[in-house]
Amino acid sequence: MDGRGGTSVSGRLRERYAVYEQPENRTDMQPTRLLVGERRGLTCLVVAQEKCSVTLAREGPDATTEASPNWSCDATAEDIHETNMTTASTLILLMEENAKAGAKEPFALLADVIAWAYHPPEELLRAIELALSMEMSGLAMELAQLGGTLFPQDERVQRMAKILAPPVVRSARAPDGKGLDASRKWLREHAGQYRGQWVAVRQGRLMGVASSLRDLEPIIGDDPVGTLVSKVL
Amino acid sequence: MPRFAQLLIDTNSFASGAAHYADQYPGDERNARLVLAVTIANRATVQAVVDTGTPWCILDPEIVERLEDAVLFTENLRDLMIRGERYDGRLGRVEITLQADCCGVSIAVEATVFVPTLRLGEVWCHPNFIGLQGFLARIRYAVDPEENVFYFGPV
Repeated sequence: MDGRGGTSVSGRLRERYAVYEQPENRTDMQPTRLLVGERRGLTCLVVAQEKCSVTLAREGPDATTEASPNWSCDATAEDIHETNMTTASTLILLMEENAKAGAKEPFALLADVIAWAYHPPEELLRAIELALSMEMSGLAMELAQLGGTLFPQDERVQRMAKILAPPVVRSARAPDGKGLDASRKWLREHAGQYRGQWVAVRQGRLMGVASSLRDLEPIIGDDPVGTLVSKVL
Repeated sequence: MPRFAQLLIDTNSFASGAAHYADQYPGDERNARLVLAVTIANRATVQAVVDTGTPWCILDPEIVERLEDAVLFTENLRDLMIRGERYDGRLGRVEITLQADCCGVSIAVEATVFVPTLRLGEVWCHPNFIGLQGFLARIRYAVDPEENVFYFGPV
């Protein structure tokens, strides 16, 4: 059932999701068939050819028949909705639905199987937003990096790819942090006297106290790296 | 010189530098923390709690306000659960430097940060945090609680 070739899908997921992609001899086309999951009685059959058609069917005794080899499908359930949405939009709707339900596994599977190169960048951005809302930060980062590669001309995707890139580390010539230890020591011993205030400490000496950081600006500005500022909780 | 500097920095290059850390965040004496001094965009040196449970670094909005032009922000607001409360805010990218105040070489990390957007009259009452995926994921680190030393270096 798993026609994804080379991509691993866990056994449990494979039981719940059958994912079809284009036949090997039709590599020029979009993914041609997707049968995406059965969740909470909703079966979604997606038949995608050059002209997409989509059928959503509420599961019943004769709910659906699998997409046939010639890439057409029938749905015989009572509750059938024909739609002219693109395949892409439908898959995003499925992602939205999974996000709303907090269903992380199917959400991640959808993100993994969707051929994002054939989708508009807005949909990839939406998927990233959804992943972030589900606290799936790793997936959001992966999608953002993929988007950065797929959509080099899209400014929003490029911005997202940059913000969600893995951290980049380099050696820094300066600063060497001289005097920080003395400032830390001062904070440990005296911070309790300044609850709710911002304090600026340099070389172990209190340089200023204020109710807002903005008011300490003249002091910090002299030596922003060597001045340890902290809000005392 | 910290006790393990030669082993971790000089001998096998596990780390490139080392910094002292504080056990408590100022004003939060009841909770034991690992608090590092970090410099944000070379324009503000602040303290931040190492927290592997949060994906992003989290910065006090007042700090970011004074270096807004150094942060690349996402367009949309989103929310993040911080200590049991949900906050709206923006994700951003900014350089954060770990100062090697014990020995070795400092490192600068292009990090992903979350900056809360406060409602009118709302006051930010949490520490700054150093998160896992937005910062720690690409550095090696080791902690010596005997000397309060945090060793660090690029992966």
